[in-house]
Amino acid sequence: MFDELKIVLEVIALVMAISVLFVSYKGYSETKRPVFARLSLAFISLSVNFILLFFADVLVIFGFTVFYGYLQIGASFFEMMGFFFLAFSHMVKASQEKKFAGLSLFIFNPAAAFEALSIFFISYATLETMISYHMNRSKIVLTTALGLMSFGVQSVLSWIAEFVSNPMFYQIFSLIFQIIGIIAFSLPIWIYYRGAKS
Amino acid sequence: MMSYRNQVHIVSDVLFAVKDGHQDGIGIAQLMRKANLSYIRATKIIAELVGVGLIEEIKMEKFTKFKITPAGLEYLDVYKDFSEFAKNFGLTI
Repeated sequence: MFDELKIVLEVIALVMAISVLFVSYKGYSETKRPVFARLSLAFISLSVNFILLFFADVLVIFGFTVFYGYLQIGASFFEMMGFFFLAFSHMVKASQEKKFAGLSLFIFNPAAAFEALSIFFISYATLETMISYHMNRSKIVLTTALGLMSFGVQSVLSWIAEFVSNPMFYQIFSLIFQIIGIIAFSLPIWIYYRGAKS
Repeated sequence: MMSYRNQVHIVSDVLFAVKDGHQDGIGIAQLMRKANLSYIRATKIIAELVGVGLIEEIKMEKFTKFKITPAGLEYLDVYKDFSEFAKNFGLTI
């Protein structure tokens, strides 16, 4: 039951990531602004991450556990890349606004695993999104920040689940935070399509 | 915090200034004030926008006015949609 729910959430997350990718790529092709190229790269990576997670979990259900580890590592790598491009967009924005953008230099640890890097990148993206909210007080920006925060907490919980003997508690909460993150991320897409229709 | 405007931002400011101006068109001085541009910068951007058909030039006896075209309005709609989309991720175009 738990694995099936996880797979359903992975498919929903994949659909969300592809929707954001579609709008970002359309934005890039129509405006040629690099911010949309970076968002497209971020969501291509996150889509690949969800595809690999989906295949990993489906293979486990059918009893093929041989490639599970490789798929998990691949998924973590693409997740890290996705959050890196998201954080990088914020770093570029911060440097354009002549704001301090060197936080990464203090926290970056090259020995850390992909998952730990994801947590760092998503924390940075969340922080910058919260700063954006502080500046323009848009509720949608706050929702996006909360979505990013949920994905961050989800990453932390799944990371902890790798090390504990009974990971069920962490996995369930990880799923709950993933659901919150997916719902929060669906809002900007919904608003875009509503705006494009009117 | 003050930040430099990029080309897309400046073009949209010019188009918004022309759009929000009088229905008969807007003069260069008013456009410069509304879009916060120097005369040299404003004339260069206006020439480009007239060239690509986003605004039209209405020549009168003593002065010239500018009006937004349907293509300009369409550009502004697309700009607003994508600008809001990027803003919702805490980013700017």
